[in-house]
Amino acid sequence: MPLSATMVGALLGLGTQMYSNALRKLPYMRHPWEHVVGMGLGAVFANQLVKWDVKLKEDLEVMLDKARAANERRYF
Amino acid sequence: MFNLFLAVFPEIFIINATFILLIHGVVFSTSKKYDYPPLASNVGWLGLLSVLITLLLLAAGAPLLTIAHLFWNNLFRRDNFTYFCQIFLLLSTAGTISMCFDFFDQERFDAFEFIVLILLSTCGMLFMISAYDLIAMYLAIELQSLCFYVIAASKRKSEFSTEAGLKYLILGAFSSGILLFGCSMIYGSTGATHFDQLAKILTGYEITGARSSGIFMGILFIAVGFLFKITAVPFHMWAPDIYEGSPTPVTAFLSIAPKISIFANILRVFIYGSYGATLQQIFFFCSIASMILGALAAMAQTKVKRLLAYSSIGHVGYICIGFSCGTIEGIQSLLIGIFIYALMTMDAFAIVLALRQTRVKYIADLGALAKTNPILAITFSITMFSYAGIPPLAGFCSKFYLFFAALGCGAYFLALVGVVTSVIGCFYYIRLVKRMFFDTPRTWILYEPMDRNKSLLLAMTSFFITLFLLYPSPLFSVTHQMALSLYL
Repeated sequence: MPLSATMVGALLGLGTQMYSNALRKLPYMRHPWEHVVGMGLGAVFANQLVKWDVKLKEDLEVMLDKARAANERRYF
Repeated sequence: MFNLFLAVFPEIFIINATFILLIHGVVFSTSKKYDYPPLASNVGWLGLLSVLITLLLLAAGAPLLTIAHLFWNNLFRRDNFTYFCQIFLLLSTAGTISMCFDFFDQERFDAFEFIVLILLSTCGMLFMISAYDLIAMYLAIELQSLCFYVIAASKRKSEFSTEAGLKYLILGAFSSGILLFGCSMIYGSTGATHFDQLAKILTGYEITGARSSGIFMGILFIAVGFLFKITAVPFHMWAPDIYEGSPTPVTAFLSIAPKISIFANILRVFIYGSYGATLQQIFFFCSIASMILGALAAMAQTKVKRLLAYSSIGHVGYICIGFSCGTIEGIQSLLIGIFIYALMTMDAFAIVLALRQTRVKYIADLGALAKTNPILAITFSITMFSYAGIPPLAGFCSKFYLFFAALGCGAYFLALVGVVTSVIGCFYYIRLVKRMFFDTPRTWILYEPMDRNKSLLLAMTSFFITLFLLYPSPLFSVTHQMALSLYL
Protein backbone atom coordinates (compact mmCIF):
# COMPACT_ATOMS: atom_id res chain seq x y z
CA MET A 1 0.00 0.00 0.00
CA PRO A 2 2.67 2.62 0.88
CA LEU A 3 4.63 1.51 -2.23
CA SER A 4 1.68 2.03 -4.52
CA ALA A 5 0.88 5.40 -2.90
CA THR A 6 4.52 6.46 -3.35
CA MET A 7 4.55 5.36 -6.97
CA VAL A 8 1.23 7.02 -7.78
CA GLY A 9 2.31 10.20 -6.01
CA ALA A 10 5.65 10.28 -7.83
CA LEU A 11 3.88 9.79 -11.17
CA LEU A 12 1.44 12.53 -10.28
CA GLY A 13 4.27 14.90 -9.39
CA LEU A 14 6.16 14.07 -12.56
CA GLY A 15 2.99 14.49 -14.61
CA THR A 16 2.24 17.85 -13.00
CA GLN A 17 5.67 19.22 -13.83
CA MET A 18 5.55 17.89 -17.41
CA TYR A 19 2.00 19.31 -17.83
CA SER A 20 3.24 22.65 -16.50
CA ASN A 21 6.06 22.70 -19.05
CA ALA A 22 3.66 21.69 -21.82
CA LEU A 23 1.30 24.56 -20.94
CA ARG A 24 4.20 26.99 -21.26
CA LYS A 25 5.13 25.39 -24.59
CA LEU A 26 8.52 24.31 -23.24
CA PRO A 27 10.15 20.89 -23.78
CA TYR A 28 8.48 18.40 -21.43
CA MET A 29 11.72 17.49 -19.62
CA ARG A 30 13.20 20.99 -19.37
CA HIS A 31 15.01 21.49 -16.04
CA PRO A 32 14.82 17.81 -15.04
CA TRP A 33 15.64 18.61 -11.41
CA GLU A 34 12.22 20.22 -11.16
CA HIS A 35 10.72 16.87 -12.18
CA VAL A 36 12.67 15.18 -9.37
CA VAL A 37 11.36 17.74 -6.87
CA GLY A 38 7.85 17.21 -8.26
CA MET A 39 8.15 13.44 -7.88
CA GLY A 40 9.36 13.81 -4.31
CA LEU A 41 6.59 16.23 -3.36
CA GLY A 42 4.02 14.04 -5.12
CA ALA A 43 5.16 10.93 -3.25
CA VAL A 44 5.01 12.76 0.11
CA PHE A 45 1.60 14.20 -0.73
CA ALA A 46 0.14 10.82 -1.75
CA ASN A 47 1.43 9.06 1.37
CA GLN A 48 0.14 11.81 3.65
CA LEU A 49 -3.20 11.76 1.86
CA VAL A 50 -3.59 8.01 2.40
CA LYS A 51 -2.65 8.32 6.10
CA TRP A 52 -5.05 11.26 6.48
CA ASP A 53 -7.83 9.27 4.80
CA VAL A 54 -7.39 6.42 7.30
CA LYS A 55 -7.44 8.90 10.23
CA LEU A 56 -10.51 10.64 8.81
CA LYS A 57 -12.40 7.32 8.59
CA GLU A 58 -11.54 6.51 12.23
CA ASP A 59 -12.64 9.99 13.41
CA LEU A 60 -15.82 9.67 11.36
CA GLU A 61 -16.67 6.36 13.05
CA VAL A 62 -16.22 8.02 16.46
CA MET A 63 -18.50 10.92 15.41
CA LEU A 64 -21.15 8.58 14.01
CA ASP A 65 -21.12 6.57 17.26
CA LYS A 66 -21.51 9.81 19.19
CA ALA A 67 -24.45 10.84 16.96
CA ARG A 68 -26.08 7.41 17.33
CA ALA A 69 -25.71 7.58 21.12
CA ALA A 70 -27.17 11.11 21.19
CA ASN A 71 -30.19 9.96 19.14
CA GLU A 72 -30.75 6.91 21.36
CA ARG A 73 -30.54 9.07 24.52
CA ARG A 74 -33.16 11.37 23.10
CA TYR A 75 -35.63 8.95 21.55
CA PHE A 76 -35.36 5.66 23.47
CA MET B 1 -7.06 21.37 27.29
CA PHE B 2 -8.26 24.26 25.10
CA ASN B 3 -5.54 26.80 24.44
CA LEU B 4 -7.17 30.03 23.28
CA PHE B 5 -3.96 31.53 21.94
CA LEU B 6 -3.23 28.48 19.79
CA ALA B 7 -6.79 28.47 18.52
CA VAL B 8 -6.78 32.10 17.34
CA PHE B 9 -3.12 32.38 16.41
CA PRO B 10 -3.85 32.02 12.65
CA GLU B 11 -6.15 35.06 12.72
CA ILE B 12 -3.72 37.04 14.90
CA PHE B 13 -0.87 36.20 12.53
CA ILE B 14 -2.72 37.17 9.36
CA ILE B 15 -3.89 40.50 10.83
CA ASN B 16 -0.35 41.33 11.94
CA ALA B 17 1.03 40.26 8.56
CA THR B 18 -1.50 42.52 6.82
CA PHE B 19 -0.49 45.56 8.86
CA ILE B 20 3.23 44.87 8.49
CA LEU B 21 2.84 44.52 4.72
CA LEU B 22 0.85 47.75 4.60
CA ILE B 23 3.55 49.62 6.48
CA HIS B 24 6.25 47.98 4.35
CA GLY B 25 4.41 49.01 1.19
CA VAL B 26 3.83 52.59 2.28
CA VAL B 27 7.40 53.13 3.51
CA PHE B 28 9.21 51.65 0.54
CA SER B 29 6.89 52.68 -2.29
CA THR B 30 7.26 56.33 -1.26
CA SER B 31 11.01 56.05 -0.72
CA LYS B 32 13.09 58.40 -2.86
CA LYS B 33 16.23 56.45 -1.92
CA TYR B 34 14.91 53.32 -3.69
CA ASP B 35 13.48 55.37 -6.58
CA TYR B 36 9.80 54.74 -5.71
CA PRO B 37 9.78 51.03 -6.58
CA PRO B 38 6.61 49.21 -7.73
CA LEU B 39 5.85 46.84 -4.89
CA ALA B 40 2.82 44.89 -6.09
CA SER B 41 4.78 41.69 -6.87
CA ASN B 42 6.98 42.01 -3.80
CA VAL B 43 4.01 42.45 -1.45
CA GLY B 44 2.21 39.72 -3.43
CA TRP B 45 4.90 37.14 -2.71
CA LEU B 46 5.05 38.16 0.95
CA GLY B 47 1.25 37.99 1.11
CA LEU B 48 1.30 34.49 -0.39
CA LEU B 49 3.88 33.47 2.19
CA SER B 50 1.67 34.92 4.96
CA VAL B 51 -1.30 32.90 3.76
CA LEU B 52 0.77 29.70 3.68
CA ILE B 53 2.13 30.34 7.18
CA THR B 54 -1.43 30.97 8.41
CA LEU B 55 -2.37 27.62 6.89
CA LEU B 56 0.47 25.92 8.78
CA LEU B 57 -0.58 27.62 12.03
CA LEU B 58 -4.13 26.42 11.47
CA ALA B 59 -2.90 22.89 10.87
CA ALA B 60 -0.87 23.13 14.09
CA GLY B 61 -4.12 23.74 15.98
CA ALA B 62 -5.62 20.45 14.74
CA PRO B 63 -5.33 18.41 17.98
CA LEU B 64 -7.79 20.83 19.61
CA LEU B 65 -10.58 19.95 17.30
CA THR B 66 -11.99 16.66 18.53
CA ILE B 67 -14.29 18.71 20.75
CA ALA B 68 -15.91 21.96 19.74
CA HIS B 69 -14.92 25.02 21.73
CA LEU B 70 -16.52 28.42 22.12
CA PHE B 71 -14.30 31.37 22.87
CA TRP B 72 -14.25 35.16 23.23
CA ASN B 73 -17.44 35.44 25.22
CA ASN B 74 -18.96 32.58 23.17
CA LEU B 75 -18.95 34.76 20.05
CA PHE B 76 -16.79 32.33 18.06
CA ARG B 77 -16.65 28.55 17.75
CA ARG B 78 -13.82 26.27 16.75
CA ASP B 79 -14.75 22.77 15.56
CA ASN B 80 -14.08 20.41 12.64
CA PHE B 81 -16.38 22.40 10.39
CA THR B 82 -14.56 25.68 11.09
CA TYR B 83 -11.17 24.04 10.75
CA PHE B 84 -11.67 22.49 7.34
CA CYS B 85 -13.57 25.48 5.93
CA GLN B 86 -10.73 27.79 6.98
CA ILE B 87 -8.11 25.50 5.46
CA PHE B 88 -10.08 25.41 2.23
CA LEU B 89 -10.48 29.20 2.25
CA LEU B 90 -6.75 29.75 2.76
CA LEU B 91 -5.87 27.31 -0.03
CA SER B 92 -8.25 29.16 -2.38
CA THR B 93 -6.75 32.51 -1.40
CA ALA B 94 -3.23 31.20 -1.97
CA GLY B 95 -4.26 29.87 -5.40
CA THR B 96 -5.85 33.21 -6.34
CA ILE B 97 -2.85 35.29 -5.21
CA SER B 98 -0.50 33.02 -7.18
CA MET B 99 -2.48 33.83 -10.34
CA CYS B 100 -1.92 37.56 -9.93
CA PHE B 101 1.82 38.05 -10.37
CA ASP B 102 1.90 38.01 -14.13
CA PHE B 103 -1.14 40.29 -14.17
CA PHE B 104 0.79 42.91 -12.17
CA ASP B 105 3.61 42.92 -14.73
CA GLN B 106 1.46 42.76 -17.86
CA GLU B 107 -1.02 45.45 -16.81
CA ARG B 108 1.64 47.57 -15.01
CA PHE B 109 -0.56 47.31 -11.94
CA ASP B 110 1.23 49.15 -9.20
CA ALA B 111 -1.19 49.01 -6.28
CA PHE B 112 0.36 46.91 -3.50
CA GLU B 113 -2.77 47.70 -1.45
CA PHE B 114 -4.53 45.10 -3.58
CA ILE B 115 -2.75 42.26 -1.78
CA VAL B 116 -3.16 43.95 1.62
CA LEU B 117 -6.92 44.18 1.05
CA ILE B 118 -7.10 40.54 -0.06
CA LEU B 119 -5.36 39.50 3.17
CA LEU B 120 -7.69 41.69 5.24
CA SER B 121 -10.75 40.26 3.54
CA THR B 122 -9.36 36.75 4.10
CA CYS B 123 -9.05 37.57 7.78
CA GLY B 124 -12.68 38.74 7.77
CA MET B 125 -13.71 35.50 6.11
CA LEU B 126 -11.79 33.44 8.69
CA PHE B 127 -13.75 35.21 11.42
CA MET B 128 -16.96 34.75 9.46
CA ILE B 129 -16.49 30.99 9.32
CA SER B 130 -15.95 30.73 13.08
CA ALA B 131 -18.62 33.32 14.04
CA TYR B 132 -21.26 31.94 16.41
CA ASP B 133 -23.25 35.08 17.09
CA LEU B 134 -25.21 37.42 14.81
CA ILE B 135 -23.12 40.45 15.83
CA ALA B 136 -19.78 38.70 15.29
CA MET B 137 -21.08 37.37 11.98
CA TYR B 138 -22.16 40.81 10.79
CA LEU B 139 -18.88 42.49 11.76
CA ALA B 140 -16.90 39.79 9.95
CA ILE B 141 -19.14 40.12 6.85
CA GLU B 142 -18.55 43.87 6.81
CA LEU B 143 -14.79 43.48 7.19
CA GLN B 144 -14.80 41.15 4.18
CA SER B 145 -17.25 43.18 2.08
CA LEU B 146 -15.60 46.57 2.54
CA CYS B 147 -12.32 45.17 1.24
CA PHE B 148 -14.12 43.70 -1.79
CA TYR B 149 -15.73 47.04 -2.68
CA VAL B 150 -12.29 48.62 -2.85
CA ILE B 151 -10.47 45.89 -4.76
CA ALA B 152 -13.26 45.76 -7.34
CA ALA B 153 -12.32 49.38 -8.18
CA SER B 154 -8.57 48.85 -7.84
CA LYS B 155 -7.77 49.47 -11.51
CA ARG B 156 -8.03 53.22 -11.14
CA LYS B 157 -7.45 54.13 -14.78
CA SER B 158 -10.33 51.95 -15.97
CA GLU B 159 -13.86 53.33 -15.87
CA PHE B 160 -15.23 49.76 -15.99
CA SER B 161 -13.42 48.94 -12.79
CA THR B 162 -14.59 52.15 -11.10
CA GLU B 163 -18.15 51.43 -12.22
CA ALA B 164 -17.89 47.87 -10.89
CA GLY B 165 -16.60 49.10 -7.53
CA LEU B 166 -19.31 51.73 -7.22
CA LYS B 167 -22.09 49.27 -8.15
CA TYR B 168 -20.74 46.70 -5.71
CA LEU B 169 -20.50 49.33 -2.94
CA ILE B 170 -24.07 50.54 -3.36
CA LEU B 171 -25.68 47.13 -3.78
CA GLY B 172 -23.46 45.47 -1.18
CA ALA B 173 -24.15 48.16 1.40
CA PHE B 174 -27.87 47.83 0.71
CA SER B 175 -27.79 44.05 1.22
CA SER B 176 -25.67 44.41 4.37
CA GLY B 177 -28.29 46.84 5.67
CA ILE B 178 -31.04 44.31 4.99
CA LEU B 179 -29.00 41.60 6.71
CA LEU B 180 -28.48 43.79 9.76
CA PHE B 181 -32.17 44.70 9.83
CA GLY B 182 -32.99 40.99 9.83
CA CYS B 183 -30.55 40.41 12.70
CA SER B 184 -32.14 43.25 14.67
CA MET B 185 -35.65 41.85 14.08
CA ILE B 186 -34.55 38.43 15.28
CA TYR B 187 -33.00 40.04 18.37
CA GLY B 188 -36.10 42.15 18.96
CA SER B 189 -38.40 39.12 18.71
CA THR B 190 -36.30 36.58 20.60
CA GLY B 191 -33.84 38.58 22.71
CA ALA B 192 -31.03 36.34 21.46
CA THR B 193 -28.16 36.74 19.02
CA HIS B 194 -26.20 33.62 19.95
CA PHE B 195 -26.76 30.69 17.60
CA ASP B 196 -27.19 28.16 20.43
CA GLN B 197 -29.96 30.28 21.96
CA LEU B 198 -31.56 30.86 18.56
CA ALA B 199 -31.48 27.12 17.89
CA LYS B 200 -33.32 26.43 21.16
CA ILE B 201 -35.95 29.08 20.39
CA LEU B 202 -36.42 28.61 16.65
CA THR B 203 -36.01 24.90 15.88
CA GLY B 204 -39.45 23.48 15.21
CA TYR B 205 -40.98 26.93 15.78
CA GLU B 206 -44.12 27.30 13.67
CA ILE B 207 -44.35 30.65 11.91
CA THR B 208 -48.01 31.44 12.64
CA GLY B 209 -49.73 34.49 14.03
CA ALA B 210 -48.70 38.08 14.53
CA ARG B 211 -46.21 37.32 17.32
CA SER B 212 -44.00 35.31 15.01
CA SER B 213 -44.11 37.78 12.11
CA GLY B 214 -41.03 39.54 13.51
CA ILE B 215 -39.14 36.25 13.51
CA PHE B 216 -40.37 35.41 10.03
CA MET B 217 -39.33 38.82 8.64
CA GLY B 218 -35.99 38.62 10.42
CA ILE B 219 -35.20 35.21 8.94
CA LEU B 220 -36.38 36.41 5.52
CA PHE B 221 -34.19 39.52 5.62
CA ILE B 222 -31.14 37.58 6.78
CA ALA B 223 -31.75 35.06 3.99
CA VAL B 224 -32.06 37.89 1.44
CA GLY B 225 -28.80 39.43 2.65
CA PHE B 226 -26.99 36.12 2.31
CA LEU B 227 -28.56 35.29 -1.06
CA PHE B 228 -27.37 38.61 -2.39
CA LYS B 229 -23.82 37.88 -1.31
CA ILE B 230 -23.76 34.45 -2.98
CA THR B 231 -25.31 35.90 -6.19
CA ALA B 232 -28.39 33.71 -6.04
CA VAL B 233 -31.40 34.63 -8.17
CA PRO B 234 -33.29 36.98 -7.79
CA PHE B 235 -30.48 38.94 -6.13
CA HIS B 236 -27.90 38.21 -8.81
CA MET B 237 -28.21 41.34 -10.97
CA TRP B 238 -24.97 42.88 -9.78
CA ALA B 239 -22.79 39.88 -10.46
CA PRO B 240 -22.24 39.90 -14.25
CA ASP B 241 -21.47 43.64 -14.41
CA ILE B 242 -19.12 43.56 -11.44
CA TYR B 243 -17.41 40.33 -12.49
CA GLU B 244 -16.86 41.78 -15.96
CA GLY B 245 -15.74 45.24 -14.86
CA SER B 246 -13.36 44.21 -12.09
CA PRO B 247 -9.77 43.21 -12.84
CA THR B 248 -9.66 39.48 -13.64
CA PRO B 249 -7.79 38.36 -10.48
CA VAL B 250 -10.41 40.22 -8.42
CA THR B 251 -13.17 38.44 -10.33
CA ALA B 252 -11.48 35.12 -9.61
CA PHE B 253 -11.26 35.97 -5.92
CA LEU B 254 -14.88 37.18 -5.80
CA SER B 255 -16.09 34.00 -7.49
CA ILE B 256 -14.37 31.65 -5.08
CA ALA B 257 -13.50 32.86 -1.61
CA PRO B 258 -16.67 34.65 -0.41
CA LYS B 259 -18.83 31.73 -1.52
CA ILE B 260 -16.93 29.40 0.82
CA SER B 261 -17.26 31.70 3.81
CA ILE B 262 -20.86 32.75 3.18
CA PHE B 263 -22.08 29.21 2.64
CA ALA B 264 -20.31 28.24 5.88
CA ASN B 265 -22.13 31.08 7.60
CA ILE B 266 -25.48 30.16 6.04
CA LEU B 267 -25.07 26.61 7.31
CA ARG B 268 -24.36 27.83 10.84
CA VAL B 269 -27.18 30.38 10.95
CA PHE B 270 -29.87 28.44 9.16
CA ILE B 271 -29.14 24.72 9.42
CA TYR B 272 -28.14 24.91 13.07
CA GLY B 273 -29.86 28.11 14.16
CA SER B 274 -33.26 28.22 12.55
CA TYR B 275 -34.20 25.60 10.00
CA GLY B 276 -37.86 25.24 9.06
CA ALA B 277 -40.34 24.86 6.22
CA THR B 278 -40.42 28.60 5.46
CA LEU B 279 -36.71 28.86 4.97
CA GLN B 280 -36.63 25.67 2.96
CA GLN B 281 -39.21 27.09 0.55
CA ILE B 282 -37.17 30.28 0.07
CA PHE B 283 -34.05 28.32 -0.76
CA PHE B 284 -35.98 25.90 -3.00
CA PHE B 285 -37.22 28.79 -5.07
CA CYS B 286 -33.82 30.52 -5.23
CA SER B 287 -32.08 27.29 -6.17
CA ILE B 288 -34.50 26.55 -9.03
CA ALA B 289 -34.43 30.16 -10.25
CA SER B 290 -30.61 30.33 -10.13
CA MET B 291 -30.21 27.09 -12.06
CA ILE B 292 -32.69 28.15 -14.75
CA LEU B 293 -31.45 31.71 -15.11
CA GLY B 294 -27.79 30.69 -15.00
CA ALA B 295 -28.35 28.18 -17.81
CA LEU B 296 -30.49 30.41 -20.04
CA ALA B 297 -28.68 33.73 -19.59
CA ALA B 298 -25.23 32.24 -20.17
CA MET B 299 -26.35 31.05 -23.62
CA ALA B 300 -26.68 34.65 -24.79
CA GLN B 301 -23.24 35.80 -23.63
CA THR B 302 -20.45 36.75 -25.99
CA LYS B 303 -17.81 37.69 -23.42
CA VAL B 304 -15.86 35.05 -21.54
CA LYS B 305 -16.00 36.73 -18.10
CA ARG B 306 -19.74 37.36 -18.27
CA LEU B 307 -20.30 33.75 -19.30
CA LEU B 308 -18.31 32.59 -16.27
CA ALA B 309 -20.33 34.98 -14.08
CA TYR B 310 -23.64 33.45 -15.22
CA SER B 311 -22.10 30.00 -14.93
CA SER B 312 -21.24 30.77 -11.30
CA ILE B 313 -24.85 31.91 -10.70
CA GLY B 314 -26.03 28.56 -12.09
CA HIS B 315 -23.58 26.69 -9.87
CA VAL B 316 -24.80 28.54 -6.81
CA GLY B 317 -28.23 27.18 -7.71
CA TYR B 318 -26.85 23.63 -7.77
CA ILE B 319 -25.05 24.14 -4.47
CA CYS B 320 -28.24 25.53 -2.88
CA ILE B 321 -29.90 22.16 -3.67
CA GLY B 322 -27.75 20.71 -0.91
CA PHE B 323 -28.88 23.40 1.47
CA SER B 324 -32.55 23.06 0.53
CA CYS B 325 -32.56 19.37 1.49
CA GLY B 326 -31.78 20.11 5.13
CA THR B 327 -30.29 16.64 5.67
CA ILE B 328 -26.76 15.55 6.54
CA GLU B 329 -26.38 14.18 2.99
CA GLY B 330 -27.54 17.55 1.64
CA ILE B 331 -24.97 19.45 3.68
CA GLN B 332 -22.27 16.97 2.70
CA SER B 333 -23.14 17.33 -0.99
CA LEU B 334 -23.14 21.14 -0.59
CA LEU B 335 -19.62 21.05 0.85
CA ILE B 336 -18.42 18.66 -1.89
CA GLY B 337 -20.05 20.96 -4.46
CA ILE B 338 -18.32 24.07 -3.12
CA PHE B 339 -14.92 22.39 -3.01
CA ILE B 340 -15.13 21.13 -6.58
CA TYR B 341 -16.68 24.40 -7.81
CA ALA B 342 -13.80 26.40 -6.25
CA LEU B 343 -11.15 24.28 -7.95
CA MET B 344 -12.92 24.38 -11.32
CA THR B 345 -13.30 28.16 -11.05
CA MET B 346 -9.64 28.60 -10.13
CA ASP B 347 -8.76 26.57 -13.20
CA ALA B 348 -11.09 28.58 -15.45
CA PHE B 349 -9.87 31.96 -14.26
CA ALA B 350 -6.22 30.94 -14.47
CA ILE B 351 -6.86 30.14 -18.14
CA VAL B 352 -8.73 33.42 -18.67
CA LEU B 353 -5.80 35.29 -17.10
CA ALA B 354 -3.33 33.42 -19.32
CA LEU B 355 -5.41 34.34 -22.38
CA ARG B 356 -5.86 37.99 -21.33
CA GLN B 357 -2.25 38.57 -22.23
CA THR B 358 -3.22 37.79 -25.80
CA ARG B 359 -6.23 40.10 -25.44
CA VAL B 360 -8.88 37.38 -25.50
CA LYS B 361 -12.03 39.02 -24.22
CA TYR B 362 -14.79 37.64 -26.41
CA ILE B 363 -15.72 34.00 -26.92
CA ALA B 364 -15.05 34.47 -30.64
CA ASP B 365 -11.40 35.31 -29.84
CA LEU B 366 -10.91 31.74 -28.65
CA GLY B 367 -11.02 30.53 -32.25
CA ALA B 368 -8.18 28.22 -33.26
CA LEU B 369 -6.71 28.17 -29.72
CA ALA B 370 -6.30 24.44 -30.34
CA LYS B 371 -3.89 25.25 -33.16
CA THR B 372 -1.84 27.90 -31.34
CA ASN B 373 -1.76 26.23 -27.91
CA PRO B 374 -3.30 22.74 -27.97
CA ILE B 375 -2.46 21.83 -24.35
CA LEU B 376 -4.15 24.98 -23.05
CA ALA B 377 -7.14 24.25 -25.28
CA ILE B 378 -7.35 20.71 -23.86
CA THR B 379 -7.12 22.09 -20.29
CA PHE B 380 -9.90 24.58 -21.00
CA SER B 381 -11.99 21.81 -22.54
CA ILE B 382 -11.54 19.59 -19.48
CA THR B 383 -12.65 22.51 -17.27
CA MET B 384 -15.69 23.19 -19.44
CA PHE B 385 -16.70 19.52 -19.53
CA SER B 386 -16.35 19.42 -15.75
CA TYR B 387 -18.55 22.52 -15.39
CA ALA B 388 -21.09 20.81 -17.67
CA GLY B 389 -21.12 17.77 -15.37
CA ILE B 390 -19.82 15.24 -17.86
CA PRO B 391 -18.41 12.05 -16.32
CA PRO B 392 -15.82 11.01 -15.24
CA LEU B 393 -14.77 14.52 -14.26
CA ALA B 394 -15.12 16.11 -10.81
CA GLY B 395 -18.03 18.36 -11.82
CA PHE B 396 -20.13 15.27 -12.60
CA CYS B 397 -19.39 13.89 -9.15
CA SER B 398 -20.49 17.07 -7.37
CA LYS B 399 -23.76 17.28 -9.35
CA PHE B 400 -24.34 13.54 -8.85
CA TYR B 401 -24.20 13.91 -5.09
CA LEU B 402 -26.31 17.05 -5.05
CA PHE B 403 -29.07 15.46 -7.14
CA PHE B 404 -28.99 12.26 -5.11
CA ALA B 405 -29.27 14.28 -1.88
CA ALA B 406 -32.32 16.00 -3.38
CA LEU B 407 -33.86 12.66 -4.36
CA GLY B 408 -33.08 11.28 -0.91
CA CYS B 409 -35.11 13.98 0.82
CA GLY B 410 -38.00 13.78 -1.66
CA ALA B 411 -37.21 16.97 -3.63
CA TYR B 412 -37.79 15.28 -6.99
CA PHE B 413 -38.66 18.50 -8.82
CA LEU B 414 -35.43 20.11 -7.66
CA ALA B 415 -33.39 17.20 -9.00
CA LEU B 416 -35.33 17.26 -12.28
CA VAL B 417 -34.70 20.99 -12.77
CA GLY B 418 -31.04 20.41 -11.94
CA VAL B 419 -30.69 17.70 -14.57
CA VAL B 420 -32.54 19.68 -17.26
CA THR B 421 -30.52 22.86 -16.63
CA SER B 422 -27.30 20.83 -16.66
CA VAL B 423 -28.22 19.59 -20.13
CA ILE B 424 -29.02 23.14 -21.26
CA GLY B 425 -25.73 24.32 -19.74
CA CYS B 426 -23.84 21.77 -21.82
CA PHE B 427 -24.68 23.89 -24.84
CA TYR B 428 -22.65 26.95 -23.92
CA TYR B 429 -19.81 25.02 -22.29
CA ILE B 430 -19.35 22.80 -25.32
CA ARG B 431 -19.78 25.81 -27.60
CA LEU B 432 -16.51 27.13 -26.13
CA VAL B 433 -14.84 23.82 -26.93
CA LYS B 434 -16.23 23.95 -30.46
CA ARG B 435 -14.85 27.48 -30.92
CA MET B 436 -11.40 26.43 -29.76
CA PHE B 437 -11.17 23.34 -31.92
CA PHE B 438 -13.27 23.98 -35.01
CA ASP B 439 -13.57 27.73 -35.56
CA THR B 440 -11.23 30.18 -37.23
CA PRO B 441 -10.80 33.53 -35.46
CA ARG B 442 -11.32 36.90 -37.15
CA THR B 443 -7.71 37.83 -36.34
CA TRP B 444 -5.05 35.29 -35.40
CA ILE B 445 -3.69 35.85 -31.92
CA LEU B 446 0.00 35.25 -31.23
CA TYR B 447 0.80 33.00 -28.32
CA GLU B 448 2.40 34.65 -25.29
CA PRO B 449 3.89 32.26 -22.75
CA MET B 450 2.24 32.02 -19.35
CA ASP B 451 4.22 32.16 -16.13
CA ARG B 452 5.19 29.19 -13.98
CA ASN B 453 2.73 29.97 -11.14
CA LYS B 454 -0.28 29.76 -13.42
CA SER B 455 0.97 26.69 -15.25
CA LEU B 456 1.57 24.80 -11.99
CA LEU B 457 -1.83 25.85 -10.62
CA LEU B 458 -3.50 24.76 -13.88
CA ALA B 459 -1.66 21.44 -13.87
CA MET B 460 -2.65 20.66 -10.26
CA THR B 461 -6.30 21.68 -10.63
CA SER B 462 -6.65 19.87 -13.98
CA PHE B 463 -5.24 16.68 -12.49
CA PHE B 464 -7.67 16.99 -9.60
CA ILE B 465 -10.63 17.50 -11.95
CA THR B 466 -9.61 14.54 -14.11
CA LEU B 467 -8.56 12.05 -11.46
CA PHE B 468 -10.93 12.90 -8.59
CA LEU B 469 -13.28 10.03 -9.35
CA LEU B 470 -10.48 7.49 -8.81
CA TYR B 471 -9.99 8.43 -5.15
CA PRO B 472 -12.85 10.56 -3.79
CA SER B 473 -12.75 9.01 -0.31
CA PRO B 474 -10.82 11.74 1.59
CA LEU B 475 -13.16 14.50 0.39
CA PHE B 476 -16.25 12.43 1.22
CA SER B 477 -14.96 11.60 4.70
CA VAL B 478 -13.95 15.16 5.51
CA THR B 479 -17.24 16.67 4.30
CA HIS B 480 -19.21 14.05 6.24
CA GLN B 481 -17.24 15.01 9.37
CA MET B 482 -17.88 18.71 8.71
CA ALA B 483 -21.62 18.10 8.28
CA LEU B 484 -21.83 16.07 11.50
CA SER B 485 -19.83 18.59 13.51
CA LEU B 486 -22.45 21.26 12.73
CA TYR B 487 -24.77 19.32 14.98
CA LEU B 488 -22.53 17.62 17.54
